Amino acid sequence: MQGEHALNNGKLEHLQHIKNWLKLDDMIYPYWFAWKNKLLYSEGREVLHELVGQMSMLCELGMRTTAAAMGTVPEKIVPDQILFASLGEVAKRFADTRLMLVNLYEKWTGERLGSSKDASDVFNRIKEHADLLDYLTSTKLIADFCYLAARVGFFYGGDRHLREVAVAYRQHYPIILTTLNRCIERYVEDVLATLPSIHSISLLMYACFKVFPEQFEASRMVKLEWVPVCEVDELDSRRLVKSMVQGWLETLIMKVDGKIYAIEGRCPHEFADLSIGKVTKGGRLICADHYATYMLSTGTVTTHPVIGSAKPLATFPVNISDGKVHIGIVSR
Amino acid sequence: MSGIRTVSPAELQEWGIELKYDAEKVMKDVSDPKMTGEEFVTYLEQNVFKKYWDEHYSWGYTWVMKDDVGAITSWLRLGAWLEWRFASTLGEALGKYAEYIDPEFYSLFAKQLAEEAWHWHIRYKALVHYGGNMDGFNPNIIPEWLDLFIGVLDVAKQDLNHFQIRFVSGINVVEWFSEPHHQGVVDACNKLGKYTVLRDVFEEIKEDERFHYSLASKTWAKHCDTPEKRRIAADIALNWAIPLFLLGRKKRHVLALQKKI
Repeated sequence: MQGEHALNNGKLEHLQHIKNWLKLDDMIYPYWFAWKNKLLYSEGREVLHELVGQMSMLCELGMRTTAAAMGTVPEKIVPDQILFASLGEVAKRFADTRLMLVNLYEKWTGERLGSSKDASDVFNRIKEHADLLDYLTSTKLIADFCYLAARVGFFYGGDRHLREVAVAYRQHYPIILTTLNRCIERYVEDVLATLPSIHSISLLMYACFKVFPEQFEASRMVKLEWVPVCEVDELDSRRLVKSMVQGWLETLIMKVDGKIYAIEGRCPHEFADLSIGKVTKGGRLICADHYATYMLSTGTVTTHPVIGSAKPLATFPVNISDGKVHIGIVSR
Repeated sequence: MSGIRTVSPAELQEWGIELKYDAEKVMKDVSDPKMTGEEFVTYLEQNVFKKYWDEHYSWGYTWVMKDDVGAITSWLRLGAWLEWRFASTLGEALGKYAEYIDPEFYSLFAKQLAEEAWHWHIRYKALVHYGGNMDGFNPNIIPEWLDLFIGVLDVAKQDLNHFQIRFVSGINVVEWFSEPHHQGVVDACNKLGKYTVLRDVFEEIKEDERFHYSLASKTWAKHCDTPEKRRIAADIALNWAIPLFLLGRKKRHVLALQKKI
């Protein structure tokens, strides 16, 4: 049997209190910004190993909660065979992504990740109270955290292989989400407002945030490669400039209220082209597809789209020299 | 295996089932310390499983050659339910006992989980195509299937250190017998020149079942590297799973032809 659980009851109780005054977005942003800062202010590749380790843990957990959902009071889903089969595909997508991450970790370190102790600890505590709905909503939150980790790794990891895995997971993510939503719809009307139990959220938060130390002493900012993207003058004559950086990063550069911003070129919600969006005073960008609104300075979502929810927008540091705008890309 | 249903020789005899292997001899042979995991797999396939190929092929073939839609839907009702039941059991195993499964097998078991759930869909589709439905279906009509598909978790849980060996030896092992059976169904459909939906479904499932059996053979090849582990695997497969499965399938064959499922 498993050894002692990583969480003691006092800590769990404390986390449960926290959830009472948190919304889902409040959990998403700290996670995104904590990882973003950790990647930007940690030199070396160990931070990538941690990120991949955490994504692998999340995928293992997602596989387990999905599989457990299929083995728990399944008669509620069973009348819809295709939905039941889709749930099986969700477990497979998590397991396949985990395998890619484990392979990547081995390529980097020479070591192969085994079964995750954190995933076991969290799952075994979740299952003490979980019903089918809780398994499904927990899986959704796990998929969200994993997606954030994949996105942050894609933009700030500075590693081509990690980007490939992140892109692979990005293909899975909308399918995972749609399947889970369709299953959850069988229980509740307002799918988007349905969260896992306090118990499960607390456990997931604990597992996701434990990689961040209580006192973070930032080392020097990671080495950035300054890539020229356009002439400064171009931004005066045009609303914004699109640029493909290093062949993988689609960016938008714009000048608003005299300040230059560089952001990812696609909406994190459903990948719409942000160049046709609307830039407003105060440094906000509204996506033309579903009206998600982002703060250009931080990437924070200020208004969620009309359907679903958006993730934070990736932003990049800007530097001007020799009359050209350069953006800083992480180089490890 | 206290508290877990096992099949007695008298029950097998009553239904005319012959065990084509000597379990005691197999247990003695696999206790050879020089035997490798791969050799264990070859040994079981050559000395046990292959002896059943013709019989199971014949069951699949004769069932369809009867050319009776009522018998076909009767068989499919249980088949569809079994796919769901297996997906559910596998989901519980992969979800709740993942720490006792070799992580290198996670994606393989997840693939099997997705396929079992998909088979539930396509078997049900075939059932509906031939005018059948699941109304009033009672799985207790052949309790051996319940004993096998639910009991396997109890068998596996009895020794968590060998959970995966015990689980695949109790359930994935019976997937080997699906290949000859499904081949018989496909050949009979072709011979009759009809039941094309049934043929296509069984053709697809047959390929997947081969993969599902391979989870047992891959587990044995990798992990049955000691006489003790081989004895555990052989004991569960030969003394528990296969007799239970043979009895369940024979009853199913007889009852389906009588349209009683």
